[in-house]
Amino acid sequence: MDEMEDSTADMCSRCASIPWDELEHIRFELFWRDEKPTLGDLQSSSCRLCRLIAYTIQAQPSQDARPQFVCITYRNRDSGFGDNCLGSLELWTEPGGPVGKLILTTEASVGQEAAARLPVVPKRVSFASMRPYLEACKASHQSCEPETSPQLLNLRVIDCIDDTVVVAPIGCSFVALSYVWGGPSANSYVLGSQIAFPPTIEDAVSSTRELGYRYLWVDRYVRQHAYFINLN
Amino acid sequence: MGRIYASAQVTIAAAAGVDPTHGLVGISRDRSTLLAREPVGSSRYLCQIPQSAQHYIIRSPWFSRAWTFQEGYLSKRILCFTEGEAVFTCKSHDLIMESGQNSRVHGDWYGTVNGTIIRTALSTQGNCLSHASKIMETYSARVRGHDSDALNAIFGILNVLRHGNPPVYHNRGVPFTITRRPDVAHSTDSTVSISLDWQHLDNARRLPEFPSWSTLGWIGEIYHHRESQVTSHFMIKYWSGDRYRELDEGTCDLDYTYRLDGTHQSQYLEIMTDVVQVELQFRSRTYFLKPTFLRRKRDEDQEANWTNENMTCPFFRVVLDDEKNFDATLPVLCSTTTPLDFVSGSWGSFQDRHPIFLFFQKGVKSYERIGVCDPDVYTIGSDGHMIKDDKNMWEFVPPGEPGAWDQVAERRTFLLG
Repeated sequence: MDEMEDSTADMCSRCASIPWDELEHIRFELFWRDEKPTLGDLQSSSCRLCRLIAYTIQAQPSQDARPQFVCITYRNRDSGFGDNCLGSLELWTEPGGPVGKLILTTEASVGQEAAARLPVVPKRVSFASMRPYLEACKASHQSCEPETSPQLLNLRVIDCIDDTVVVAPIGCSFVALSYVWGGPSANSYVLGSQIAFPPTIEDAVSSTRELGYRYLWVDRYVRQHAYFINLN
Repeated sequence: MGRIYASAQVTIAAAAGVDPTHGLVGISRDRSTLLAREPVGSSRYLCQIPQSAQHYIIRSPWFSRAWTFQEGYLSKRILCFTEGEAVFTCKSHDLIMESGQNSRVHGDWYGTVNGTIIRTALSTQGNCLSHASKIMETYSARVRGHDSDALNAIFGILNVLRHGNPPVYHNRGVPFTITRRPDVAHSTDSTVSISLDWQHLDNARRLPEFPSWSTLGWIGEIYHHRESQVTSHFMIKYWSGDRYRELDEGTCDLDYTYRLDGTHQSQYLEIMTDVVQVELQFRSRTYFLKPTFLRRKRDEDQEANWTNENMTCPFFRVVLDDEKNFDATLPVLCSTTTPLDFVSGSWGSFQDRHPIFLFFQKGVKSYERIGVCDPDVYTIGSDGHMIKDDKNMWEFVPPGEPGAWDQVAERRTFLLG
């Protein structure tokens, strides 16, 4: 009993109301259907479980300022994460749908069986393992051929070897970057000058080199005056 | 600009972070392998598990924005940097994870659902009306920075579909096709099919820059049911140059009219159809319509059970686009895109043709779409709840009798804005 009091001591009443010790005997249960906490409630809560759940969900922008309500479904032993895993808590938002998962275990670490099922990824991207997929696609997928017919004239690209903005040589192979702009407009850059880009673009420059290409097209930073002439 | 992505050898997708200061995870920034956990109950732990790359893609700002949808869709090959693994995908192959795993980490429905959503957005190609409708459905869930971007941010994809084989045209983001096929019944040699049968999943907000008949005229996620055909019963005319015309291949080069301002004639459809003025009733937290043109089939065996007046009263459930701002005091017009077949009188066979009913209300300058309903018949059960009824229990009120469609309907031509 003392033990239980310890673990619920710094929980909010909402999290403490989930029968943690009974869960492994329950097959399926829905929690927080009536409490309807919003994602904002969880993020600003002083309860450690609320914060763990909010952190696992990763807040997303929605189309409008509607609150996203969170609810939880518990499933007994459905996830196959090994013997130490008693069950899983699926996290839902409304609107939104399923958004994440936590597992209930008897050990502080995820069981060994579970770990074996999960991808082991190093801290840095391995281009050596990605390049063969790209090469295989280039060699054998006709429908993946990039378009060539419209000539891109005055397309400004980053020369990833000289780190400058240049006019793309006609017909050159290039890589494009797709990213979220974020804040206010960036400065435009003068042709031929050495430049400092934000980290995502710097990383895209080095990735372009790793993939074996020289030119990178990045919207907004190098867009000016890019236009097409359709030779037809 | 869509052409640039289609012409690139590879597109690098930054599917992590809300702006370009985040960097690509796994290049300048280490991937986090730290998993949080908290003790619960007596010696139990709630643990985070490593998330699949699909989870990270779907939850990324990159996957939630309007502009990045066509950037991903038009790209032939994508190298996607997530908070977890990097992922490669192309038009001919499903996702390939950096770890070599071909697909899901969690072999459950969550992974399956995520995989399908990502495929629709990045890998699936097609040139048919239902594919175009699916594109608009996916797009409706994306967040737009500026309302005026609504068409521009999808224009690249619509342009590709328009020049595909067969071409899928669009008018203000509403896809339509023209099929050359002699249609004896309507003495035409081509059939126009158009995606008008969509409904909002939640209360939507009207966006006045675009017409109400386009999904671009609303902010809110939509669901597409099926396509409707333009017939002599439900005639749609588009503005083409100097007047409203019936649509054929010669008048469907509408691509360049969109950049006109929101007051131009081209933002209206001229619709000629039979309309019925209806009243919508609010019951069980949603709006219902009582179709006067239906009656319960006579069935001698069971007639004794139908003494309760309510039991014989059918309702359609109406999905209003913006229910919160619906003004029930203004007249509501209802029309169906499917010709009503009075000859057979069989409601069941009519319903098998998947008809939809559209609802309009008069706005400042023209009529506006306010909602749709599927013609599923509901009745009030003995406990007071609405229950879906068997379609074969109902029939049309025969023409000429009170309440029959031909008695209450009126042929009208109106502008839909």
